Amino acid sequence: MLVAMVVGLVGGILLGFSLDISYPTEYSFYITMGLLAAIDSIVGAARSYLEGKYNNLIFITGFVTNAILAGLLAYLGDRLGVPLYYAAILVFGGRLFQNLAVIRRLLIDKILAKKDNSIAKK
Amino acid sequence: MKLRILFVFVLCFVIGFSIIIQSRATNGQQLYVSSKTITDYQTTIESEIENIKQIEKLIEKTEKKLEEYRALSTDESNELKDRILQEHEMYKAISGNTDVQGEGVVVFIDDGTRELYEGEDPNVVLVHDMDILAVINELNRSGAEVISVNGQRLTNNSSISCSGYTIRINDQFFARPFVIRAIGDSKRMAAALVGPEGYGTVLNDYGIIFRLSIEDDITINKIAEYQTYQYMTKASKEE
Repeated sequence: MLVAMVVGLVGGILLGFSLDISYPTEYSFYITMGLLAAIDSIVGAARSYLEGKYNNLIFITGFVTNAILAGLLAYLGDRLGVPLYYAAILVFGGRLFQNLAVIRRLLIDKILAKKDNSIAKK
Repeated sequence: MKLRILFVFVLCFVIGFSIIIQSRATNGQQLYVSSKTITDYQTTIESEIENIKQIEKLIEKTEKKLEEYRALSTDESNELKDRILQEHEMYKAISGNTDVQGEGVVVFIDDGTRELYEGEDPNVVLVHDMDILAVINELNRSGAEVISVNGQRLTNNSSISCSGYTIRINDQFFARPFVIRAIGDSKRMAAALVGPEGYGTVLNDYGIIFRLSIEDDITINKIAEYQTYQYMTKASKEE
């Protein structure tokens, strides 16, 4: 799992550097939205994995629908002149921290449980 | 299990890829542009496009003309000469060397006859060179092609200045009343002058007599004296 993450990240970064892709700056919002949705999904997946509730279908559909909604919000905001993408940024960002906090707690619990076990063994 | 690893791999790949793409495109600069700047740029671009279109039209026109001349130059007939003479006539009309006629407006301006208030400056009801200049400016702005003041054709180097109770136009002195004739889009010129914000209305409010009539056929004479050009020569290099 961890290997897949690292390899994916490094591969993506290398590909990004090697390909000289340029796109109109208008689309940068959409790319940022996709990026945020992806990071959110990854962290969410890590959390549910640690909680033992991980499901492939939920993971992938969550990513796709979140990305689509974020893109739609950005587009609508562009049309209306109201920065609606703030909503997506706030939600994704907020959830990121929340999930990170839950992961931290779960990890600490695990470590503590291990220690307790080792103490009990002695 | 395998599927999960694949998904995670793909997502991480997307994250890394888009981070790099995004950071390279933005170059670390702030992307946010205020909507006012955007509209400013839009109007600039639109006017530039309009400009380009006009220039393209001009090029097309000129090329057509060139084509015509080329075709005519091979002809033995006098058509080329006729065409050039025709153009010569047109330039003469533009420069003020022939009498011209057409529809337009006649503006009559005279000093006011109303009683002055106590202590009021009489200059308020007198016609000044500035009034005439303002009216001419307004006429030019609203599409006048030829203008004359009291029979004096205004050309590219006409001058109007104040000289006591008279006004000096093209080195000749004129006293009130002033009759300004202008050939051009008569309705537009009249609307510009006698409209609620027009200069004619302002003059009338001051008490100066300002009358405007639209006429179908106005004749404007050619310039009275020939201009001499001593200092000006054609530029040798076209840039």
